Amino acid sequence: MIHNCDDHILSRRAFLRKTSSFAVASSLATNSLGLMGLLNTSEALASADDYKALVFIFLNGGNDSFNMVVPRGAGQLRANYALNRGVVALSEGSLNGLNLQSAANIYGDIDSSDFGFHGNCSNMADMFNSQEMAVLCNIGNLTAPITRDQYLGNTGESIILPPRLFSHSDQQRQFQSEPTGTFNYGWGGRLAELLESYNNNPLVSPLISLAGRNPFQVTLEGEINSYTLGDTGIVPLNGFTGARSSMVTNYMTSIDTSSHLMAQKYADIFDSARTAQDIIESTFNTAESSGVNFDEIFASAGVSADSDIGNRLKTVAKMIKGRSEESNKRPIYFVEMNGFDTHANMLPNHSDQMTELNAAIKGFRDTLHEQGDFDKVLTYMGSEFGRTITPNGNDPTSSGTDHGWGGNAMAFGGMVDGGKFFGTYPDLLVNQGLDVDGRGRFIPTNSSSQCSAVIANWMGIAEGDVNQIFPSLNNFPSSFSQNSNINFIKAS
Amino acid sequence: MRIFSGHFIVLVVSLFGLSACGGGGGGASDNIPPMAPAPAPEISLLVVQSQAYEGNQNSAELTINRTGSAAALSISYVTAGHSEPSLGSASSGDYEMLYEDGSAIGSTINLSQNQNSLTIQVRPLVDNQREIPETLTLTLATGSGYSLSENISAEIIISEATNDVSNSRLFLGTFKAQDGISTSASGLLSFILQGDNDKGTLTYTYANLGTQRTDQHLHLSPSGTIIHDIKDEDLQSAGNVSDYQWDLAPGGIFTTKQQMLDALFDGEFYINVHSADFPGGEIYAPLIFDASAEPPEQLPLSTADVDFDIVRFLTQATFGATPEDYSELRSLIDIDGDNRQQVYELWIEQQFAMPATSMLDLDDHIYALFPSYNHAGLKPESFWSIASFAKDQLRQRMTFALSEIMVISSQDSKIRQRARGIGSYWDTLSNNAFGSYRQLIEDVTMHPMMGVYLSHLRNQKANEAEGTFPDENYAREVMQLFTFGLVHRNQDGSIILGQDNLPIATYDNETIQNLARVFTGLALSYRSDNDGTNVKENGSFNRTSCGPANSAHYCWTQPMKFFPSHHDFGEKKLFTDNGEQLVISASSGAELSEAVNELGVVLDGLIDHNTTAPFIARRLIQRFVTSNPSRDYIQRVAIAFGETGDMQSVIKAILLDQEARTPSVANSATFGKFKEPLLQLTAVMRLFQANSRLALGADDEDSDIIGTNYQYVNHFATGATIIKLGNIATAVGQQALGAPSVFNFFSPDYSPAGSLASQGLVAPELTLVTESQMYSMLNGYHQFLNNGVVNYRRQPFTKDQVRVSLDTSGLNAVWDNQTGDNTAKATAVVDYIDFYLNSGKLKQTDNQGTRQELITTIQSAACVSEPMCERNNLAIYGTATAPEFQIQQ
Repeated sequence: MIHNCDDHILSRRAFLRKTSSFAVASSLATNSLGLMGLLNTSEALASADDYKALVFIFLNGGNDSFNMVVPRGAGQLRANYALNRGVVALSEGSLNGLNLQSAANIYGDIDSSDFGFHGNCSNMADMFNSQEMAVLCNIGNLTAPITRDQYLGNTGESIILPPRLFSHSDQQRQFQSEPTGTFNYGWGGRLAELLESYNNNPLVSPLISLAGRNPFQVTLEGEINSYTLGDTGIVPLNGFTGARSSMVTNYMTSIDTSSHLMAQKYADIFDSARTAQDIIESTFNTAESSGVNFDEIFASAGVSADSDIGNRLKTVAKMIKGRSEESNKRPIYFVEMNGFDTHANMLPNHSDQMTELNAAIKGFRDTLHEQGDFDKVLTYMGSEFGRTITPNGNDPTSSGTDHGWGGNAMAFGGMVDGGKFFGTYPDLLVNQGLDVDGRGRFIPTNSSSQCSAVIANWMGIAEGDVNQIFPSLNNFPSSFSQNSNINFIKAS
Repeated sequence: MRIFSGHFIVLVVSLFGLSACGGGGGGASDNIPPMAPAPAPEISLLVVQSQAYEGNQNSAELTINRTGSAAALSISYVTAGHSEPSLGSASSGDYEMLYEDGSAIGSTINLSQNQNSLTIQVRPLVDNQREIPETLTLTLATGSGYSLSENISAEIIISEATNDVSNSRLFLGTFKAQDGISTSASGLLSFILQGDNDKGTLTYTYANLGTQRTDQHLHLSPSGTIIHDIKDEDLQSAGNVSDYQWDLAPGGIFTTKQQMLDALFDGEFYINVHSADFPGGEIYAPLIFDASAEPPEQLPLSTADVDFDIVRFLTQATFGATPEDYSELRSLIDIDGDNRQQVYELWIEQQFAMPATSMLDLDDHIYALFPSYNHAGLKPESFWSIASFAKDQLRQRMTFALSEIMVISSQDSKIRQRARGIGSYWDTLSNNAFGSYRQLIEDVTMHPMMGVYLSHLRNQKANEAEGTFPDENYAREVMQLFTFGLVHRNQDGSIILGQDNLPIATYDNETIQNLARVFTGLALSYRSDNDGTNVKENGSFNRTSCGPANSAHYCWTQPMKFFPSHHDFGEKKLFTDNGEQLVISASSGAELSEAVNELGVVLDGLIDHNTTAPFIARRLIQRFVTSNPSRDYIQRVAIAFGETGDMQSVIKAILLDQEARTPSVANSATFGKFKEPLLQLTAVMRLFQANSRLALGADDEDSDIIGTNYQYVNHFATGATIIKLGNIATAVGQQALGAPSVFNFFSPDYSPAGSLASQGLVAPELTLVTESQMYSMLNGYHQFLNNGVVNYRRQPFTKDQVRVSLDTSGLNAVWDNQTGDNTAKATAVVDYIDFYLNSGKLKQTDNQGTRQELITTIQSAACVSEPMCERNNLAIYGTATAPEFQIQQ
């Protein structure tokens, strides 16, 4: 949809005026359950079952996922792993074994279903083995299926690659949108627009970020903006009373279309913060008085108090638990964990990352079970790219790995067809097969958009409509076909 | 003897060049046809246009008229120069005399039969010499067949150029102490020479003379001979000199004005100021010709426009405008702002000349003052004192800008734990801030902290047997972020499309793998004993430390070096520029010098790459002036960048560009940038003189100031204190050298959805403005205003001694000095803050909503309990958080 510029601005302002008047109503009633709260509760009761939340955990920096999901056993795949990982190979004995419900699909002529998760991911292995979690093998940004010969230009065909492969910023943006040069929207943002009828709370955005601004939640039409929570939830506004409060509130609303566009944006964000604050505060209050002891569950899962990813997932759990205070039925959370760009000290640093991630996942999983929401929340963990299978040094402690392409993602939740590997695990060989340049940068065997489409479908987009969000999928077999082997949602 | 070259010879010629052309005499009679006697015609000479200009080739014009007979005539004439030998005389090489049809006039001026008048053009000849106005006197001489009227002589002045402002030349200088004199006095000087080189306007200002001024002179360097006395009675005021007309009259050893002009352009003049204590002169400033300076644009500016522009300039160039800096510039700038460009340039020059404030030195001072704490925890604090008080504001602003391009970050514990290395890295940026980008990239590449952050420290060549490869991290980012970026661009920053209509990538993964091999073999240059002492040369490639945390960490402050045995000396096929690929051929010797040379060639190629100049130009414009510069603006700065990245030219091009200096942009809804939170806070701190009780200087027994006697206190403004902000940096969401990743705090291309994105506009800094971050910033102001900021790392000092609070005495003075009712007083307060924090935009804007709300709130607020009474609290909180104040235009 193309907006005329002026219409666009006017409609945005009209939307804000609408939200401002709501803000007055809600703040009048903060101390009781509140008018808005009553309305929302009744709506929530009417359709209590129809709630689905997506939690996208983005592993920022390029997770070395070939050391997260690792081959074991006597077969060829483990031998390839040991050969090419060299000093950064993990020993078989350190791994947490996995019981696959069906054979893994391996690239080339290899049979193996003997895998383990990283030694520090024992709880994630438990989730996999109890069929709550699935592995999505070797996915990555792709505009169309491609072979090594095509990539190297040996076939003379004209192929289109995702622009600026191996670059963090570009591949992050593409993983969170589409593998195109121009950025129009994030797939989370577009999903929220298409699911707008499910999200009828005018004061709280269905797009909630625990990681600041991100491409994933950018909408196409710009009417819905993401709302950023602090790691531990709402940041209270201190000393905002009396003359100060009325002064600031008044001048924020005096900003109009003649003001500088960036000042307008600033005022919008202030509006968003103010109008959402009351409702989100009561959401937290509801969650914390629900009897679920979030702190204890996360602590006993091994989450330390200063774990960013742990705190962020705890905050998401509270938002989900307290959702009766707001009426959005398809919220989309964006959570980020940093520190995966392991060019140096890969083994020790990645090991620490795995420990922290495993604990946070365990805490989140246990909390969702405790509050009865495990079937309603789909959690997806991916990264902009995998890393080279080969290391960049010969010292096991200081060596690292460089930017790769395909990598292994994961999903968990009650709806996930767990205990299985989807997609195709690479043969881990270099200078042949999937490798593009001798370092073991593997051409993805499924596109990240194919995975994202499965999620979009679960959230409510019809199978035939997912290409509206992901136009590149016109170049691929359907995500829902048997051959794609990527539909990781249980048949309903 | 340099000053006597060239022009002196010209001068000699012209002095003796009183040539008599034609000279009359009997020969002319041959040309006169025998005719019946008739009344002898009378000849007269008239000046139509007496001025001729070499620059635009405008000729002077004379007319010869005759009355009487109609026969053909040859008229004799003589030429001469100026009657005053010290002034300029035109010689034959300076002009030619032409008839109307363009043919040359010979030894006589010939009138054809029946021609009663003719026009003579005196056209200047271009000689590319700098000359004073030269006079040509043409006088008709007696001859046969005519008589002369009274009007037989004409004076023509041949000048180099017209006196349009665009032809003015600028000479700049900064005042420094004379040799052997100890003084803290300093100042600025400009001399604007008008286009015809006849005279110019001298302006200068200085401050902090130890004692009263006695004399001031213009001297010849190096002899010190006085050339010109600037007499007090000729000055408008006893203090600074403004708009003093100096006519280059010969003085001292010089006998002609042309000699003076030559000496001026040769940089041989200086002005000095004598004081009671230093009768031989206390400070001096040379007059240095600056060819790069653009003449000021002639815009009709109101006084208010000029005032606002001064604050805009300071907001762009410093960590925040202050009344002191404003006053200094205002005193030098004309009411109508005609000379503002020169004054800004002068200020920039003065900033260039200032010694760089070292962050590492100040870090060490702070580490020593607070010995109970880890360096890592104390490290961020020095930045706030530097931003608040350092005199070399522009250098430090540029350093901050560079730190947001060539990022290392203390968010990475490997960086955080090497605190002295961080200070050293900042100094590396700051030492190159006014040098060349080429040297900067080399120093950054070799800095061990960058080596740690982007992991090329101890990066080694591939080992096929072990299946290992060089680390690609630095190779990628040095191209993607530090030099030319991802795609080829034109000089104006626009993307070049290939035949497939797609952008052309500047490199591919193969390039990265090849470039990664260039950065192999680099490791620490120094080692030490385990306690950090006994520093010596490092001989081991694998060494990773030089002492424990909180030790000197010397190796992290010194450039890395190549260990040739770990460097890949093979052939490397690198990036392409102008269709030519940079290929490093294999080296057989595997010598250290070859690795060093190879790095030099590669860095040359990176900086010289056509796309680097516009890529870096856009980033720097975004950091100083506007998020969305025009292509022309980018191109102008890219041109200034040149092949090696002339950072002085770049910053001048950025700050003096018409796009940066046009006041009308204040009314634009899109020009400018969102102020990043860190710069918002420094601006507030500078305006309200944030301070603690810990002076960088000495004890002050009259107050409760504790001196810490920092050895470089003279690099800081008077009254500078240690500003420890600790946790408020978290509230701000930004800390210098503490970005989340190598991609900085924000992407230069971030465009918020909605009206900005739909107009194709970016607003990078808005990345940082989220609901939670905005609240946290407001909470930071709340804390600052209500209690001041007390960092818990305070031992051995008390809370009150380290507390950083704002000084609102200035606001009280504004309130008290304003006559009228509380509304008038509140208006004065709001306008005062608006002026300094916001370049007066709030007052100028059509929408007066915010201004009225602020006035209404402040006029009824009480001010009873200092230090921060309710009224001032509301005034500062209200302005600092208002939407209009978030934008720098």
